[in-house]
Amino acid sequence: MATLIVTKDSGGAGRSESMTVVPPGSEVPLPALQALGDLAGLKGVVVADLISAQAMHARVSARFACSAAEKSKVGELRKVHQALINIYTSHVAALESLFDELELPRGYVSPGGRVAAFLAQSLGQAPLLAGSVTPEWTELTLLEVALALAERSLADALALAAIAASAQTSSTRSALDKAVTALAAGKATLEGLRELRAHCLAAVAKSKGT
Amino acid sequence: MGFNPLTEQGIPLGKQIRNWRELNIQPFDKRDVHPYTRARVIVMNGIEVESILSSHQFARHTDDWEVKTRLALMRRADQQQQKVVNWLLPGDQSVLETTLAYEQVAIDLTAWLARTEPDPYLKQVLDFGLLEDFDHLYRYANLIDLIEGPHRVTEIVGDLTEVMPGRPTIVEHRHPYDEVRRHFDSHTVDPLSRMHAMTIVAAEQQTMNFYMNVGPMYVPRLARGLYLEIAEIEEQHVTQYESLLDPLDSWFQRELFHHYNECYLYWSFMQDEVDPRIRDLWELHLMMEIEHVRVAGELLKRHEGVDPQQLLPAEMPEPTRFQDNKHYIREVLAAQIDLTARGTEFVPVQSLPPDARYFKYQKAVNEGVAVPSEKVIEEHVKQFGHDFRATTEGPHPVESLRSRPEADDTEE
Repeated sequence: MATLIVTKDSGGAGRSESMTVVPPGSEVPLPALQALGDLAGLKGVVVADLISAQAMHARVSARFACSAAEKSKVGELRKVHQALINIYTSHVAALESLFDELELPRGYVSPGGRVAAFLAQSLGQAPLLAGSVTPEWTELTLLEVALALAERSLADALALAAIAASAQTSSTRSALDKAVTALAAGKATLEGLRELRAHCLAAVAKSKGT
Repeated sequence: MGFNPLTEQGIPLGKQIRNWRELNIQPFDKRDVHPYTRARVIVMNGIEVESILSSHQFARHTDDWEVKTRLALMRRADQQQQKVVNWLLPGDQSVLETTLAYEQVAIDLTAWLARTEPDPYLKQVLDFGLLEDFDHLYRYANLIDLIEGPHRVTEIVGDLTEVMPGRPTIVEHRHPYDEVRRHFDSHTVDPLSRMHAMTIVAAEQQTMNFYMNVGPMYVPRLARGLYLEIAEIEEQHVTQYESLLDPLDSWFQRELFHHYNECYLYWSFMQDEVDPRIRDLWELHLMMEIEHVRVAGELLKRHEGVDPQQLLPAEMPEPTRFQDNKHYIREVLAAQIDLTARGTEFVPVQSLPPDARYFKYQKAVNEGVAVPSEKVIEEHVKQFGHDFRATTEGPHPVESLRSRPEADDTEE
């Protein structure tokens, strides 16, 4: 089962950087991170950082989709947001399984993972300006954020596929390949958001009123 | 099963607004109040003020009608809580007496937090600040003796907190770059560490604001000087402690954590409160804050898709308590008196290179002038023949800070 909120109680683990403190019991040691790349000819620390960043992006995206599904007043769009919840939750589950196979904590939030979460959360703050726009535009804002999150998600899947392809044959490579396949789930829906946005904007442009 | 505000029923938000009579509460009597009752009042005032100011900042970052109005309503209830809490302080308690009480809070709160802090780095930060606030009490104790006459110190702090030098205030002045600390990570932090950090930020911020405002109210130049000098250290302390908070937390998360921490402290203080009237007040405010946690949790769920149950611990940690910390403080004094900061870390001052920015800053503020925190002791010695100390546990643990043979085991 995917964990959408990582806390100490849900098994959070991390790695300290210059400005962060991770309690000794929750710190993932560098050798463990390095080891995962050794067999595959990859820099393990970097690979783990990227997986964590992708997982954190998927977690925040799933949470945003939950919020958007609750807020949306347009049935068709609400269904899209609900579909996105399932897609991102499955991505989180796939990436957590990848961590399992690489023998890292599934709640590992790397330094890059923290930044990815911050970036996605920042996008999700856009509806805080709901009072500046019409209800119609608020609905579009939810879609705009969903699209921005989806674009990053599609790019994440591409990046992971590229890393897997560059890895030497090894258990790490196999685990990466498996995750790449799992992350393909929902690709059509994510890509379809571009068209959906265009369709919605066109509909707004043609609608009566100011 | 321990206490969890998410499973409790609070007072509905719409029923929390109180009238002027209820708010304009009878203050405690400064002559018979327990020092730790007064300390709890001061802490909760700081906690409410911090929650209010954070809510204002949040409100300035949104124009969503629903969010702004929910924040405004909770904030009004918090404002009323702050009024009732702070209006417990009596009008005949002088600014200096209140100052001594603030420093007692700074000492015994920080010491408790440090003693119970699970993270070694955060504990070190608290220990570091502790020795500085400990010294401030000593400096103000000497000032109140000079301005208001003897016996005032023990009337306020009782025999619960010793009064003697800590890390001397004169050496506490550091370059601003050396006040910034590392912060906890929201995904791995122990819930208790988060609340410790939030609590100490609120307490020190309150002290900083208090000195910034009351400092110039005294006529004697020495008093004005001491307040401004120590107010500058409080700025350092707020810089230090706010650094501990993870900037990754969103506005909605911060709103929830503020109310959760208010719940935690009202619940904690209820358990030890010896004044039944004030205990009832802590309980009433707890019931209000349970509702604030629920409302903040609803906002979080609606706007970020986060279930508050997933973010908060299943039950509250052990309560925060005011207790005698004399032995703990003496241990920290003996082990850490010569520490200073270099960047985010703590090092013995002797290990700094001669061109360290610490020395440049020291020179900029101290060189060639009378330093008020030193001057106040000199004046006390001049007037009474010795400095003021109140110790119960024997000589000062740091030999160089023993001013005279009898000074460390007797009260004035």
